[in-house]
Amino acid sequence: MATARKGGMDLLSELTSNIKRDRAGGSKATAQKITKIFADVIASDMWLNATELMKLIKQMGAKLIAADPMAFYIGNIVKRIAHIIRMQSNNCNVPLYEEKPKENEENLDNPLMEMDSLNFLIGEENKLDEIPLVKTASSMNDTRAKDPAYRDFKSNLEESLLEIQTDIEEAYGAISFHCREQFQDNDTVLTIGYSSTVLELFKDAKEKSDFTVVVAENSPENSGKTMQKRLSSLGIKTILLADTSIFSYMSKINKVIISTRAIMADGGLITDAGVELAVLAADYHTVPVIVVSALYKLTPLYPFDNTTYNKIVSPKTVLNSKECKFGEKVDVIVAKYDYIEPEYISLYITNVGCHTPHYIYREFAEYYSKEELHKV
Amino acid sequence: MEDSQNLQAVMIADSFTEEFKSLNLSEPSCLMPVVNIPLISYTVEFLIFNHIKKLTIYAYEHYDKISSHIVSHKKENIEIVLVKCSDKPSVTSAFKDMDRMDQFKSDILLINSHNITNIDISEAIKAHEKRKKDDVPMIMTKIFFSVPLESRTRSKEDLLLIVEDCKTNQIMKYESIADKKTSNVNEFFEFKKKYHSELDIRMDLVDCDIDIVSPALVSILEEHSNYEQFRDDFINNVTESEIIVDKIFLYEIRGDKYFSRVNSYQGYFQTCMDVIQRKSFPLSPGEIIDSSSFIEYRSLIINQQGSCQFKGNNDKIGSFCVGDKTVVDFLATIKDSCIGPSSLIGEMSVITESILYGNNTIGQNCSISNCILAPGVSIQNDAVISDSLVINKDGENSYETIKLVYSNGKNLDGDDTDESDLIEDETDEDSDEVFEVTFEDEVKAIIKRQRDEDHQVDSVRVEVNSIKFSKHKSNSECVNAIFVGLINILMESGEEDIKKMIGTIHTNIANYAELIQNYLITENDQATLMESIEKCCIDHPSLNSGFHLLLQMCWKGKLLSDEQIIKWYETEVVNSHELRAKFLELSKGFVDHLKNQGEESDEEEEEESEESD
Repeated sequence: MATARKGGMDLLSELTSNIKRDRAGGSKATAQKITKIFADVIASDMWLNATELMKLIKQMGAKLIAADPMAFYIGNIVKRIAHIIRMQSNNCNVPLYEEKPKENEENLDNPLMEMDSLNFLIGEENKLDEIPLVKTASSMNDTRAKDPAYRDFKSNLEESLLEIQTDIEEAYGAISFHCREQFQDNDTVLTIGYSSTVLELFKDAKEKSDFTVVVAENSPENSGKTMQKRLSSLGIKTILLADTSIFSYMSKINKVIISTRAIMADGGLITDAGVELAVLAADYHTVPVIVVSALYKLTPLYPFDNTTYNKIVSPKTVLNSKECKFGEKVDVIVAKYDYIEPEYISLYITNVGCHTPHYIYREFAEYYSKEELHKV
Repeated sequence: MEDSQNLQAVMIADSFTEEFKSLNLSEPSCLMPVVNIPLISYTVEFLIFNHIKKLTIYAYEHYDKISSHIVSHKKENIEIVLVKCSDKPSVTSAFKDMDRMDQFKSDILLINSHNITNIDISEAIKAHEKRKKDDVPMIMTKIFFSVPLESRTRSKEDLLLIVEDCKTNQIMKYESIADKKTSNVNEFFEFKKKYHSELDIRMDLVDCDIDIVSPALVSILEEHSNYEQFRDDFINNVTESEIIVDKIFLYEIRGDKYFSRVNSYQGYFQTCMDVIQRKSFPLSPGEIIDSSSFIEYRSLIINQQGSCQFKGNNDKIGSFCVGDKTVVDFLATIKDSCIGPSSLIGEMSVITESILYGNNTIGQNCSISNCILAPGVSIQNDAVISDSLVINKDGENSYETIKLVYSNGKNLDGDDTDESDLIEDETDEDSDEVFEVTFEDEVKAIIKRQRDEDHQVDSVRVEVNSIKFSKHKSNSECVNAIFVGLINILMESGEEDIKKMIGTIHTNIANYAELIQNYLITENDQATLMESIEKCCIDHPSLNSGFHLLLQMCWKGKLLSDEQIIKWYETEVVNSHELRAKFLELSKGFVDHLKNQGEESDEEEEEESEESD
């Protein structure tokens, strides 16, 4: 048993390290791995009551989030599981004591937190004790196992987690299903860069209707090239378009379908850099912009502008040393993400259905507890 | 990926350069901070990135510091073993040690502690594995990175000339041409062309000091002397040897990756600037490597950890990094700089493109641009310093500046007058304290010891060779050092009678001729010997009139060829020294004799050929 537990922790540290080095794979694969780890924790005997479980989940979650703060879905899954624990403890009458939000590095990123917290005024110090992650089997085990409320709690949790896992598993299929009615014959659809969600839905829509996909290359990484290759190998008519030509080509486009890194609490998006270009062009030509995303990308955070959540990557992709020879000093900024305001989006399609930007907040209320809504 | 997991890495915690000694004596060079993160962190991160699971570090100096750093910065994905050496480590000793410990059974990745790079070596490992599978005899695959000659990241030491076989990527010749005026690659090329149809001469490559080494190396190391690094001598020895069948191969990394070497002040300066501009991404502070500093890039905050303090409204321009516990006072300006931890930047001061190592105090209204400040240096109010390395002076609460010259097109050699009165100008005596004994002095000491202890002349050769390899000295430098050293020792004996002195020199040159001949490979080396003779005669007034005698001695000892002497005699030197006319005058008779002799022999040959016709 002890080795099994240790295996779980090894898995966590390995995953953390991989996420940190951008090696974990796509968001779906990583999301699956994370839920798997949490499911293992819930099924194990590493916790004795709901309070401890909550602490444990948050501790592990903090580690995963710190690995890549820009991979919002990781935090989302953690928050979702915390929400489920709260709900189930309420349902099963299992006591859950939570520490109040506190001033620690976790919520420094959110400037609002510094202002509105009542704790801040009271100045209450509430330190979270580190729970030893590997515990020896305690005698409490026996008494705990006999408690029917506890047993219910645990089985309900396992069930809900299974639900999350299936949600993630079937996300692509569900999105494709809801997307079907968006495609008509002779449509010209524009997408930018590579996204496995978008690829799947094109694959699915191909069976029903005949349409052309215009793929913008999305420099400097040029992931659009991969997308174009994959699409043409599926037998879909595709055109590869330079980013600079998006505006001039937009008049021929019927709709823009994009994927996103995250749907933010205000309905805005955090996407790969360059998508805003396409979205603004679409707005100018009144072309509808459809965002496809799995629900685990629903992020309860508020960005203000492009700099709130962003990452600067190597200038070498744009200007390498061969081009910049004579030692002149050139500053190159290569931002990785764009923030897109909700006004530019016509429709969100998630695995549970279609939403307009005005009602996307309802999904948040359903998905997360209010405690999580303002937390990073 | 699977293959690289079996590969273990070996690092020697030594920069093989004494360049940074004046900057920080108490810290090993692998812990030098680049944007407030020790160099070793970048190396470890590079290994994790390339899926290497184990690293063995050989350390000699500063073992404890490296050890405590490793303990405090434990990484989850890599196992780090620190080995304490009893002597200054070299690649040879490290590999012999690995072999003794029975750990050199499979391939080893040899890396250096002073490189920052984000290259992906998986393809190189694949190429190496493929050769192994095909049973190609090889001892190592050296990894090179293509950097244009004009690039700023390319330091002077990185000038390399490599001859490779286009088809097999085997290295045929490796020549560092940093301090050389000519290269002997042409002769080599003409010669080798007969045997190989496709050879390629490359000058755009930089040696990454990342080698994938096969266990076959051990047998070669045992037969050869001590190599500090796998550079010129080792590689040429292996490639030109007919006994060693295992050869060395090259793998070139292309693409928009980053590589830089921190082995000189220029390299250090440039690397810091590049890292802060995120060229080494994702090996950047705030990304994977944890750093407790405040980093801002073009007004976008990248990392905000630790507790630095900006008082009031500071001008922040470009990209910069401010270390933990550093205070930037009112109205100070920071532009494109790295400021270390626990520093204080005074009011109204302007810091432009500079590196502050840490613990620095900058007074009010200072202007510092293009400088490197050693740890603990404090600058008084209103000082203006530019283009300098500022180091602490021992025992005093003052500092000295050493001019730095960067080869980025700007001429920074300018006048020294822009320094304020508060700064004590650097004097020659100071710099002597800072820098180590020169090569010439070391060689002289060796010869002296050999003479005092009455050893064989051959023992000098072994010792000189070992310094030559460790300091990357050329043959001509050895010739010069031995000859000048020998004459100096003889002159120091205090013999006053000039005739007796010439006699002693004569016997000695005859004794050492064989030794000097070892280093006389090219014409260039002979030219150096000519210069050395001139130098000796100028340095020692009593030898002024004995120039032609020395020349004759060398000629008799077969150290100088007829052509070389005639060439020297006939070359007109602009701005020559006063004594040259005298030397020419003295040697006229000898040279004429040589010329006549040459003509006679030519005529004889002609006559002979006529007779045979």
